[in-house]
Amino acid sequence: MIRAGLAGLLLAIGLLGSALPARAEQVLTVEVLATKAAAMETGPAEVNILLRLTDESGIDVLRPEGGCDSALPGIGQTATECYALAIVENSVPVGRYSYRILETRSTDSFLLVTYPSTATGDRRASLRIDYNGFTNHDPETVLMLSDYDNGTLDPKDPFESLHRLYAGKLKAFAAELAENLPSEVNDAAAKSWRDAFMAAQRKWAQFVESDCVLAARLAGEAQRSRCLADRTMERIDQLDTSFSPD
Amino acid sequence: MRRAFAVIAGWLVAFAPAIAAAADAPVPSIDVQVIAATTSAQNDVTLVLMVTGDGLDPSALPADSDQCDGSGYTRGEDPPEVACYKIVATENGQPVSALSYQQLFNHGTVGYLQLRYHTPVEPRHARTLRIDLSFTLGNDVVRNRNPEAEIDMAGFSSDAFPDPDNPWAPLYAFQDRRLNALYAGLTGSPQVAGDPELRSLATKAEQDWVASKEADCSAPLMPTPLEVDWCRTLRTTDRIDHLSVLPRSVAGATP
Repeated sequence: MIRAGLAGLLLAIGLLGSALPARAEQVLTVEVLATKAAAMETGPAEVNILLRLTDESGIDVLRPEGGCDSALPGIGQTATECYALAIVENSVPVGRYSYRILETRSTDSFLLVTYPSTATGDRRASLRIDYNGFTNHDPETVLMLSDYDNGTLDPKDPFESLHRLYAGKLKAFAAELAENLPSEVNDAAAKSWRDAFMAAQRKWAQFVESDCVLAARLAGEAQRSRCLADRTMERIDQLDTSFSPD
Repeated sequence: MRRAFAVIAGWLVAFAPAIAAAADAPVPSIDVQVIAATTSAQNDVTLVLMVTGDGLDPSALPADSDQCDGSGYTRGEDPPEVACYKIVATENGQPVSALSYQQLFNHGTVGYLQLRYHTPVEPRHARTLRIDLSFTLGNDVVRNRNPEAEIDMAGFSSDAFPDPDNPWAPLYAFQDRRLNALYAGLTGSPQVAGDPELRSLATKAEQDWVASKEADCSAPLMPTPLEVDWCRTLRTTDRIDHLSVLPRSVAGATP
């Protein structure tokens, strides 16, 4: 009975499919990681925001790497592979924006958003991200842009900011793991476990250094920051999978 | 139940235009490859399988086999919540019995499974295996492209899979071979082979990676052989990813 009902619902939705209006479902979490506002020689200032999007839908709402511009017709619809953004800065809607999807890994995606800004003084902004009806939580929340990473974002090398932020997270996580050993490690074995863990972290740091020198030589200096950021994010996942207490 | 309706309906509504646009695209499918096999004196067979999705999102593959036994697409309480592989296997045309499987891990659109069954074929006979493996995606069934293909079981040495309870050992050996092929492609590429300094950097990076992997995957951090092989498999899979994204000009092999 239930299966028949489900099949009927699926059939009806499948047939109506594109005729149904897209509905707003809040499945994305937006986190501002870093910002930078730079005065330009002519015209308005340029604001850059590094964002992390986290997808809770379980159906791969996040888009792959690429560049998007608000001038793109139909932006926010699936055919464009781009999110539509609605940015309100100091109560004024931002008319034109562009962004790069720097990287999408698992349920996280990183965006570098750029827009011209005529605001003066402190900048406060709200962000709504929409991909065919899937939106972020709390899109009306007003964020104080200068609060994030002290304006140190380099728009030409956003992976450097990512690396710095995740290196801090990794350091804190590794310290936490060194203090909270897996339950199967008894007190007598704690010191040797901790020593081995710290040695493993040093070996990993040595590997990342040499691997990212290689990446820079192979693919250009800009790849060094990306390599460092990628390896650091991956290491957090590795530690979580391998060494987190049960 | 409501959650299941909401997820499916949300998916369909959100992606209906994309589905319509992709109506002429190839139907999603999977490839199934046997990585290792071993058969006990009691005719109990253990396989390690690699399931490679084609035209699928990473989240499409079943991810949890806790309540799955290979007999159907879903398991658990009514309404069913757990997506499972349905697996039909025959040896020499005869159905196998006591089939069960365990999900080892998923990585992107590739899944690794341990499959167990009892073979009806006596050991003295040559054995050929057929596997039909499928799962549901929405109201479609995704299945392996060539379920009628005959797999010669003589091609798998039990020596390469000595402990049926440790599928990670042959899986690590398999991933290590893939990584070695990639690394050989890197160091053999004209850009690297013709540049002694670059070659030295590549060698150093690989030596440091091996040292890091072994530091992670040794006692006391990994106290049992199974954990050692599990850890080595995951680290090696990550390293395959690293080398796979190198520029095409220097990545001379595919994993």
